[in-house]
Amino acid sequence: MRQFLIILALSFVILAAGGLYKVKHSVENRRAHLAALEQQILDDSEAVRVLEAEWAYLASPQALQDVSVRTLSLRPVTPDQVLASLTSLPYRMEGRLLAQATPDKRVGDDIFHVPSPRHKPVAPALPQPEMPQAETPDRYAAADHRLMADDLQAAVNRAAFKVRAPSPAEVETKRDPVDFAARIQRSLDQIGGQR
Amino acid sequence: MSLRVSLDGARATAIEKARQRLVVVAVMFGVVFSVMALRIVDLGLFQAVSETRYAAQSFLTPTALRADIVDRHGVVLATNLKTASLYADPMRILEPEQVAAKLSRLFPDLVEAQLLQKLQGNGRFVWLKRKLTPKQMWQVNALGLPGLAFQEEEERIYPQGRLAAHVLGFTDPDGRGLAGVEHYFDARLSDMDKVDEPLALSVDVRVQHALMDEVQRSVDRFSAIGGAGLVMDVRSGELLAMASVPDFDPNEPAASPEQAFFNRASQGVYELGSTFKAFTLAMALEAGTATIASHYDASEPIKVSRFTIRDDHPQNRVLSLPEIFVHSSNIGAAKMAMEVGTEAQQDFLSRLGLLRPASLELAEVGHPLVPDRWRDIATMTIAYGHGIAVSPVQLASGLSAMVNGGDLHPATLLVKSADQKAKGRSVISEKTSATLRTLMRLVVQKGTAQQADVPGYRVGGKTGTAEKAVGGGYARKALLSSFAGIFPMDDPRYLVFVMIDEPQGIKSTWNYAGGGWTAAPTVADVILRIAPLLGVRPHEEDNGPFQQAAFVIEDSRKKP
Repeated sequence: MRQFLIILALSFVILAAGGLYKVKHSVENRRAHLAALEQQILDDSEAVRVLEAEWAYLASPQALQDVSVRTLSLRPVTPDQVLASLTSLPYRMEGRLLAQATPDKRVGDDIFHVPSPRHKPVAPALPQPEMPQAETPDRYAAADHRLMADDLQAAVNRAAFKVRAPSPAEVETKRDPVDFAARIQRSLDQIGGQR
Repeated sequence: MSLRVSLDGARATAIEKARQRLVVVAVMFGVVFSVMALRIVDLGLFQAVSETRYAAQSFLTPTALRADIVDRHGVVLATNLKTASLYADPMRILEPEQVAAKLSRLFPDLVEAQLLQKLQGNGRFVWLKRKLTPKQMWQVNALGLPGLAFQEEEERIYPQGRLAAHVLGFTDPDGRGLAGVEHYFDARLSDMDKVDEPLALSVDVRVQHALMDEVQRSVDRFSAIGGAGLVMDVRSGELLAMASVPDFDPNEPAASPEQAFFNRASQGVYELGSTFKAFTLAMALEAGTATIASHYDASEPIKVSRFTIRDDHPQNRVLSLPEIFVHSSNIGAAKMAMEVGTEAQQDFLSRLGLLRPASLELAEVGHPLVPDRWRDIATMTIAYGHGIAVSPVQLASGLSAMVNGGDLHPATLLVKSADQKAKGRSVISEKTSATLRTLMRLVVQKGTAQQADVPGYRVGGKTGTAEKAVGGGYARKALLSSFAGIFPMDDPRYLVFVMIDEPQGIKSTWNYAGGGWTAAPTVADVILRIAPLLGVRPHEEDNGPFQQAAFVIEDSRKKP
């Protein structure tokens, strides 16, 4: 009986020691894993910072305006292009308000389905005060020139909006000389390098 | 197989006693140990800290040493990024000549002789090159030279470049704020407990860019020496944009000349001219010395000692109160102010916060210049904005109070909470404010600022054209042209102020350089760009019948 107890106790001790070793080992592993994860989180959050900075740089209004002036022919939205409210839509030819129209079964129950107008709405130029010809170059002149090349001048004529944009020369000089992309790239590379 | 020994007598009693004691002690130990064992089982199995809780407890060092600055919509205006700098320990450099040669080949901008001098020095630390790119860092490591090491540093980056440079300010290489918000909130930004919470400004980058772009364009167009602009929420005093030209790049502050750091919008104090007539009118209406039906004789210039007060747009007749405002009559405003009196004027301007510096969150806030002795002539000239110099921020706060129903909100660069917004100090009555709204709209419809009109947005405002004080007198040709526009005038939301410093008239303005010709069209351009961004709806009735026709929808599926 006593021997049995001793053997039982000894085997418990061996089991406990083995178990403790295993637990300790796995805890160490997990701790290392945790440290790696924490490092990963730190690296990632640093990368997020860099990406946020890069996003803010690339999406800065100045950058967007430069791209817009270079590639598009967009101008500030004039008040006559803004619909103040749905009710300011005029009556249909049939004499019913669009929003009150009976649901069209062909397009489901979407009563707000707005058939797209076939012709582009034409906003005639507002009467402008008599002004002498401006001696400063027109800001959107360059953009218009490109449009003409793309045979889109007709669209501009139809729209007949007020014409204003910085010239490409103005845009070139305004861009700050700091090599921002290089700086951000530098930080990006560094985070990559640290892993 | 146990051995039993029995003893007799006193000995037996003693041993029995000892055994009982041992049993007591053993039981006590047993109880304590079993409690401990149970507690261990309890802790291990039932009280285990869940992994998520443990993860939340784990300590993560913050990634930056300085909090970010963001705009009112969370767009990053200033942030910290990591970078590495190269230093050397001259004691551990084995062959300084060789090291200097190799490094100067790697960095052409480092002079070999200077490097050698540094490397042969006696110190234990010398900077070789700050802020390396990761590629350069790798190249230095690839040289495999002992005694060279990197120090990880942080660099303050302003991704928006020049945008809002005067609001943000800049930091020195060690990350201490030297100007603007960076300086004013230096303690808050470098507080390690709050480093993860960005500082949100009331600035809106889109509005800021539109303002910046237009002010810069006007300054270039009129060959002016500078300009300033403000966009303020008239209901709360929040500044959505603040621009000053010339500006600088906070990423490279050293590259800009000294005068570029001057913030004309908050630091500069100017005699802003006729814009002050709005205050004079409000004061007279509040004091009851004038009503909207009052008339003042503006046919003769006023002569006071050696001064003569003339009108810039002389009508040479008796003017009604709206006419005085619309034609910007100095004579009328001066007479109106004299009726109210010097003391009342002082008191009124003081209540509007025009006699002490604005309470703006910037280090660069200018002190207004007021007359030492407030004589009659001062009362008269201040009535039309001469003889008192205030900063554009002060003027904007004052004018906001004139149109928003009479509540003065101090100008701020931080986003206000709803109950902070409600807290305004009443300075004029709602009725006077309504009258001024009408008059300001009239100035744009019929008066000096017709070029500020943007159909649909109901712009109102007041031009100001001041001659700059030079020496003892005023320079006729050096003007300070400004316009404060507020829109929409039936329910004012935003104030746009533009000031052009010494504009030169050009052919398309018939060589005029006054506020109506320079600043007013700039304000119109700004409003045209920012009103859709700020969600201000144009009034459809201001559009012609053409718009109505343009929106008529043709149903393509219904064939007649």
